[in-house]
Amino acid sequence: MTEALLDIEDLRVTFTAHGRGRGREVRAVDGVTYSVYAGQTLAIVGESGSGKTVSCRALMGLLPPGAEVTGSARFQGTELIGLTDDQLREHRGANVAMVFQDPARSLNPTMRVGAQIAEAVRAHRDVSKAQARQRAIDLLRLVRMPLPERRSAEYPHQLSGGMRQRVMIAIALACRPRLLIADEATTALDVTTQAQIMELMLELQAELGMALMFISHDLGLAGAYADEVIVMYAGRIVEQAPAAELAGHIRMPYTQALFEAIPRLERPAHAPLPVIGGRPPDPAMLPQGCSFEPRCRRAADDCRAAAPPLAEHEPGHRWACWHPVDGGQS
Amino acid sequence: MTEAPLLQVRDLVHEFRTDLGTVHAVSGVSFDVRAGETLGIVGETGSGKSTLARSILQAPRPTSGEVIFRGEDLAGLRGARLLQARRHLQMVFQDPFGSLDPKWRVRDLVEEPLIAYKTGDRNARRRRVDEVLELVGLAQYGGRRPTELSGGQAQRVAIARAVALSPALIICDEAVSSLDVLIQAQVLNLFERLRAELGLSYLFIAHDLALVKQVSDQVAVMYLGKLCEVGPGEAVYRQPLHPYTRALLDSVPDTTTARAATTIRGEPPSPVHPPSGCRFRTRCPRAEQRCADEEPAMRELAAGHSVACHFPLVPVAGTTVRSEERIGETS
Repeated sequence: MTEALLDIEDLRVTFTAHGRGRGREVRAVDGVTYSVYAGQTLAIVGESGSGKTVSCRALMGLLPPGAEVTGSARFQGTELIGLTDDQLREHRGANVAMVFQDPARSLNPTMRVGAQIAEAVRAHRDVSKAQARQRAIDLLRLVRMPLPERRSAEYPHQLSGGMRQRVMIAIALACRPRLLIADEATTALDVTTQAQIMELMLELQAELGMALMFISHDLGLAGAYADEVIVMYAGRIVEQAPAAELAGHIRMPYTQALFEAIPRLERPAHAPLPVIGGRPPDPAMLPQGCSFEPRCRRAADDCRAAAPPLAEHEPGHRWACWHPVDGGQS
Repeated sequence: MTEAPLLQVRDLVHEFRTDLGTVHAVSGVSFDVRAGETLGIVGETGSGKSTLARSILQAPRPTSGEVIFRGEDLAGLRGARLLQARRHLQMVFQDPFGSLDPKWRVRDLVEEPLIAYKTGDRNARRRRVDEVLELVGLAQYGGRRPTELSGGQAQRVAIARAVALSPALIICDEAVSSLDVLIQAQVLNLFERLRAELGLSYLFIAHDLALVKQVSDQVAVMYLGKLCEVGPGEAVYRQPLHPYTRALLDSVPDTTTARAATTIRGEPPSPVHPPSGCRFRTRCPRAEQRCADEEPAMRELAAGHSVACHFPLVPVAGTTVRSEERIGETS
């Protein structure tokens, strides 16, 4: 295996709860370990509150004050946890860049998009304004923006959602990052635009030799576009496998539940969707055992006694379950 | 003879004036919803699907066209008569919290439509509220306020409000789109159970084709203010006739079939200046001169399966194209 671009070990993010359960420790990310390799496409899948976004924001130093981060995240050997704000700013953009769900909120509505891209270029590189402007147009061309010269002079509101997301990708690529993180970047888009933006990101990844990490609630999207899929539940990784392996051999009952609940074109109309009841546990009151146990059809006494560790049970396939799907005791 | 459809929409047009010009949001849409059935409408942003929903409710009123619901044209009704007709036609929106006053308790929120329609006395209304909350699985939540609910629970409250008056038809506009997949599945199953138990019909509008197909008997595909294909859900999926439907199907990511091979290029044109002829022609791989010159009429190519396209994706062997004369007989 080649050396990892990013090595995350036992990453934990905790907040102090407000409101109900005040003062209690909220474990948003509860010990996460994985690696990202150059050229890889990794998907992190989970529901709202699973910790998928918080874990990635921790790598960027983009957490609100009060968040306590422990563990290790080494990017090409450099430890990111504990860096100062200035050091993190240097790291952001140059090494890792992020694209978010809502481009309308990330872009400045009063500034032409070309100028916003040029600003990102100049934040990290010592180039003249004219060079930065030219570079902005080149970046728009890179993200396949139609009529890049004309579009660079437009304001965000003049662009469609898909075009705004192309602008966000252009800004993210301004300093040629080694890793691009897309956080639900296509969730708000229509299905045809989503397919275009996903294709674009994969093409750019190959062209620029980047690693791509995308965070999504959509297991279908992850399976279709990623090489490797990580599934998170209640702040932990519960299953990880190559996408092709996962498609045929889901082992963790939570992943199975997510997979079965997706409406699929092949299903006959009106056939009830297999569903599980309940909701994810309150991260301020995580159970002692497996956090999925209260909702799990396969749960037994041992699940309540102790949380199963995430272990590589089959080559390349990790899961955290005492009673995995199509397998006996592990 | 079959029963008249519950809802008949005929040549519905909805336009608004803006600074940029007239927006042609809905441009001559016709369809039927039969009692006990679900018609799904699939459309992307800007297709006019949400305008269509509001225009059926006459809120605001459409520019022209007929909306015949239970035998009455809603477009011709005013005041109290419109209010009475609308009692049987309810709507569930995407953002459940947006339609629930955060200061009210769940049981008062569900009682509100009953009071608005002066249904029964206080005791009868309370009994109905309990019944409906039980139906949507929120029997224990009557005393809560919306801020104490999850997104899925809030959507159940919105559904309880919609079914409280025993409507005949519920219009769902992206009603499960903002929910996490497990909660979404629970709410979809709830919609299906209510359909069976209460004999409801739905007009189920969403951008997600797989989701729409899951709950629908008939599926209509909408693009830039017009329907381009209508048919039984299974037929539309197995044998799409319109190139846009094909593109939508190809764009659906799926773990089992690797990733989408082809995607359509570009973005929909502005509804202020829709293309002449077929509105999809500017992005269509099959477009020819005729598509710009002449608007394709909706025609039935297989049983109950119609398309508005000059060059439809020809059905594979086994189905024959019906002649023009036969079409008149079936409608």
